[in-house]
Amino acid sequence: MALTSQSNIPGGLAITGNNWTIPGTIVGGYNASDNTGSVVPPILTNPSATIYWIQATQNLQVQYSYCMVNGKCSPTAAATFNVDGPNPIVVTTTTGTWQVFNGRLSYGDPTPSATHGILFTLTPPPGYTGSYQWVQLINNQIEHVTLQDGSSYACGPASGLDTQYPYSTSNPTGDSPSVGLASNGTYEQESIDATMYLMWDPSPGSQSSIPVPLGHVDWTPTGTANYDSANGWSIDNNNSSPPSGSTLNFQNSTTYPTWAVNVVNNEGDCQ
Amino acid sequence: MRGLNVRFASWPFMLVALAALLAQAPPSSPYSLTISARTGAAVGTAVTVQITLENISPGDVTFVKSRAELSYDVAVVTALGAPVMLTPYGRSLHGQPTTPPIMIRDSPHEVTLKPHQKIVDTIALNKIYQLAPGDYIVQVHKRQLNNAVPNVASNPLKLTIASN
Repeated sequence: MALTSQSNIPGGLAITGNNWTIPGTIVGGYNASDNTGSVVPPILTNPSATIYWIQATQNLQVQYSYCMVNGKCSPTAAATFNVDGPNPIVVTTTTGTWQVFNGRLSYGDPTPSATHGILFTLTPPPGYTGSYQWVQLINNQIEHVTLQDGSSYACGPASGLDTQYPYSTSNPTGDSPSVGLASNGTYEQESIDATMYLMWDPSPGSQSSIPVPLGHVDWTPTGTANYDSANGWSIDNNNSSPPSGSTLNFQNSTTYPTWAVNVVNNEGDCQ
Repeated sequence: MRGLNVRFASWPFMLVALAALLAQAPPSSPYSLTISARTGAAVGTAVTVQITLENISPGDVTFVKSRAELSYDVAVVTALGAPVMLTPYGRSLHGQPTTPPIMIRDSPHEVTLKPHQKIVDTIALNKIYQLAPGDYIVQVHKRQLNNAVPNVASNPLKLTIASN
C-alpha cells in the first residue's frame, strides 16, 4: 500500500522530518528469485511510504506528522485501516515411507498419484481470491555414507532454497526428497531438516500486493539404507523416521522465508 | 543414459541427423522438447543448454519436476558420434562408483502444465561431461517415472567448444 502525505507549509519553511506511525506487522517489500529471497524493510522517513501489512488486523490507525526547520511540527493526521486476509488457515500433512526407488534412497514415491514422502494440503477459507504458493527451504541436509572399502564420509551440509521460487502453486503439493545410493556403498543415511512455507498473494502480478506468509511446517525425516550382495539396497526401518502416516503441525506465522542461495549451488562435498 | 551413449557412439553421424527429423514430439506425445544454447562456448566456461518442455496437448499434463539432470537424460557425443568422457559428477549421475562419493540430491514434486504452458530448465553440460574444444551433438530425453507419458527426444543440437 502506498501512503502519501500532503502538506501545506508556510512560505520560507522546509520540512526536516517526516514521522509515520504505522501499527501492525509491516514490511517494505519482498524480493524473491530462485537464488535469493529477502524482506525489504519499510522506509518511514519520507513524505510517502510504501508498506505492506502482512497480518490481518482490524482498526489499525496510521498517523503522520512532519516537522519544519523552525522546530515546529504539524498536527498529526490519522487514518484507520482494517486489514483482511484468509482465515482460518488449515494445512494438513501426511507422510509416506522411506524406500529404495530407482536406485535412490527416497522419502516416498515421487510418481504422480503415488504416496509421496510428505503431502501438504491446504483447505482454503471461502471468500478470498488471490493465489496461494508454497516455498520450501532446506535448513540442513546431510548424508553419512560407508563404501565397500570401509571408508566413511559425511556429505554436505546442503542448505538453501529448495528447487525454485515458488516451490509450487498446486494444492496439495508434495515432496519426495531423495539422494542417489552409491553404487560402491554399503550404508547410507540421509537426514533432512526442511521448512515448507505457505504464502498468499491477494493480487498476484499487481504492483499493489506481495506474497505474505501464512505459516509453515517444519519436517525432519531421516532415512537409512544398507546394502548386502544378496538383496541389494534395503531400508533399515529401525533407523528411519518418521513412521508412515505421521502428521506434522502447521504453525501460523508471519515469518518470511529468506535465503541467500539455491540449494543446488550449496550442497557441500563428501569428506 | 549409458545405453544412449553407446547407441549414439555406434551410429554414424548421418543417423544422428536422421534422428533430428524424428525428434521432438511424435503425434501421440502430449509435450515437445526443445534444446538451445548460445552459439559457441569456450573451454573453462560453463557450457549450458536450455531445455524447454511444452505441453502441446489440449489438456493438462502432470509431470514430476526434478533437478534438471535428473529430469532429463542428456546424451553428448562428438560430431562423429564418439562417446564423451564423464566427469566424476557425471559418473555418479550414471550410477557409476566414485571415491569419495558424490551425492546427487533431488526434491521431486508434481507440476501440472496447462495447454501450451512451458517448463524451462538449464543443464550445465560441463558438469556432466569432459568437454574439450571441438564439435558435439547434444540431445535430451525426458526421464519418466512411469509409462503414463511417452518418452520424447529433443532436437539434436550442434555445439562448438572453442579453445581459449
